[in-house]
Formats: sequence, structure tokens, C-alpha cells
Amino acid sequence: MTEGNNLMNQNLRNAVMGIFLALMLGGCVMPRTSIDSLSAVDKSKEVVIVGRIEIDPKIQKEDVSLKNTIGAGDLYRQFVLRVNEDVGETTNYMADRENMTVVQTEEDFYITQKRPEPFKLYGGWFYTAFNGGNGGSISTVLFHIVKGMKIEIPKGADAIYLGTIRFTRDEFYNLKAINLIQTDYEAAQKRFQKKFNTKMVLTKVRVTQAAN
Amino acid sequence: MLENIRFARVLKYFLVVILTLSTSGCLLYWTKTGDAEEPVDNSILAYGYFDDSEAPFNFRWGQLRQMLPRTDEPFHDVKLNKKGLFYLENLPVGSYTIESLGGPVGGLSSAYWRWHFPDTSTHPEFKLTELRAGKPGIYFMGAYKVYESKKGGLFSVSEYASAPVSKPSELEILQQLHEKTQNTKWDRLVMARIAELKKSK
Repeated sequence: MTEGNNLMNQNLRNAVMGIFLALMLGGCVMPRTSIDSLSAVDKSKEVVIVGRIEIDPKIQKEDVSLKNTIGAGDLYRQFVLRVNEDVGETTNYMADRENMTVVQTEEDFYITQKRPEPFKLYGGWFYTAFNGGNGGSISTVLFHIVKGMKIEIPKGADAIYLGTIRFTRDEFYNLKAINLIQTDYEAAQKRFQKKFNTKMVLTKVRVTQAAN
Repeated sequence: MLENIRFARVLKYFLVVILTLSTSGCLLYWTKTGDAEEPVDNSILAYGYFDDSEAPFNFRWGQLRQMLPRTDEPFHDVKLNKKGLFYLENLPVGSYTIESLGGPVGGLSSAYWRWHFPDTSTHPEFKLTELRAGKPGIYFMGAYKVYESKKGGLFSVSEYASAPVSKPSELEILQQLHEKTQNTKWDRLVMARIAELKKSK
């Protein structure tokens, strides 16, 4: 098996797992995931947002307690983005169902955004425990970006570079800092072009606060 | 012969109860009320208090989560005395948080509550729910209560919130803890802390 197949299978597995969990939690609404092909993008109506989520220190496999689950081994890398709508501090999963977007931490995400609406990001949440047994429970941690981040979608842009959003935490998962890092544009561009076998150029835009 | 028939009837009722519980999705729980065991090397005892007098459930179980050192089994069931005290001894030196406290609604209902305290980054008053224990000893994780924050109506359910409480005091909680540790070496630390708090009064 080639490295490419391995990556594809892993992405597929992660996406399926995300969908499975979201179906359980989100009232059967299909979550969005990072795209694997540009052919799925309707350029007249959509644009691709390129970014990355980092959690520092990283969430390790043993940080997520799994009981009575099958095939959830990669859950520790999942991060559910809260996009376009600020639902506040609530950790109610149903609040996110319309905009649930599952991505993997520590790797680029490629998600679509409808034109011409600005793309807004309000943070997201991740699992710290999942017990599917009798009396089972789920524990999650919310990293809320108060007032959010916003990108206006420029005319003519097909793919937009957001950058890396780094959430710094302590051992209790308290959020200590949020940093937007936009110093890896060249590298992100290369990864994007290689992944999708395209010459499309990422557009740099100014990131502002979503709410006053 | 008559005794055999009685035994068979009792057994039958017992089996019906077990079958009912197992098919109704009911959570079978076990309240840990035991005394403390002797300390092991490099361990701590964590203790706290939960007032369930206004809570919608009877406090019967709880879990601490071990954050550091990392482990595959991070959840530890606390012991309690059904008067509000909860504690657990022989935890490795490290970082812990109160994952949840809970219990059954009571009556004929099989429903239960699992109460999670708020995030301390937005609710710093719950800071004691996070414990960083750098050396062996006994550590207080705070006293809390759950209360009705919004009364329910005909078409709405009541809402509940939690808050730290200053009554009972740590001293009073330690006196409850003393009853559980008095036959162990933990008690020296408990009595020392009691003396320290009495002195500072």
C-alpha cells in the first residue's frame, strides 16, 4: 500500500468516524469535513478555506478516555469547528448541528464556504472521553473564540489562506491563549497544490474580529 | 416443602427485578462508602464536599479525573459518607479535576444526574475543582452545592446551577473525613490540618 493510499484511508476513516459520532449527537445532521477533491467544489458559489488547528500541548491518544467504542482510535485528533454562527459558551452539541465541521488537528483543513458570505470562526470543541456503554457519557472541551475571527471573501479568489490557529492550554484543558499564525503561507500553498494536483494560488486575506 | 415453595417465590421475584433492571436501560450503581485504606508511597488523599439538599438528585457517586501523570484509566470513583463528604486516597501525586458528581433522581424513577462543574477559565470561583498536587499529602477540592436557578412551570423544567459554598467549612469537612481515616496513617495529616485550621481561626 502506498503512502497516498494510507493517508486517504485514514482520512476516510476519520471522516466516517466523525459522521458516525455527529449522527449520534447532532440529530442526524451530516457534519462537514475537510474536502479531498476540488471537483466537489462549485467555484461559482463556493470558495475553499485553508487552515490548520493546533493544540499546545498536543492532545495525545491517552488523553482521550475511550470505553465501549469501536474504531474510535483517532478520536483524539478530531476537532469540531464552530463556523459562521456564534452559539456562545454552550457545550450542547445540538447547537452546532447546522455548522458542524469536523477537521483533524495538526494537519491542514480544506473546507468550503459559500460566496459571498464572510467566513467566521468561533473556535470549536474536542472529545476528552467517550463511553458508549450502559450509563455511558461523553466529555468534551470547548475552546471558544469570543467575538470570533472573520474573513471577507474577495471576488476572484478560489482558495483562501487562513493560517494556523494555535490554542494553548493547561493540563486541565483551560484555554490560556489563542494565536493566529500566518507565517507558513508558502508551505501551505505547496501542500495545497500537491494534495489537489493544482496550480491554484491561495489568496492572502486580512483576518478581523467577527463581532464588535 | 412449604419453605421450598417460599424460597422459589422469593427467587422468582428477585429474578423479575433483575430482568426488569437489565431490560429497562437502568443504570446499576454502587455507592462507595468505605473507610480509607493505609497510604501507599508517593500518594495523596483528595477530599471535598457536595451539598445535595437542593439538587435534583441524591449524591451517591462521583469521579475524579487524573490529568497528570497520563494514564489509560484516568477516572477514579470517589468514596463518600452520604452526608456530603467525598474523598479518595492513594491517588498518585499529580493533577486532578472533579469530573462529575451524581446520583439517582430517587423515587420510582431510574433516571440519574451526572453534574459537571463549569470551566474554571470562565468561572474562576471553581478553581479548587482543579488540583495540582506536587507532593504527597491531603488536598481540599472545595465544597459545592447545586440549587434550582430557575423554577420550572407547567410547560418547562426547572434549571439548576452550582456554586462553591463556605458552609460547611473545611474544618467541619475534615471532622467528617477524620471518621473515615482514623484507623490509618492518613489521620495524622488530617489531624494536623484540623489543628492548623483551628489555630488560624
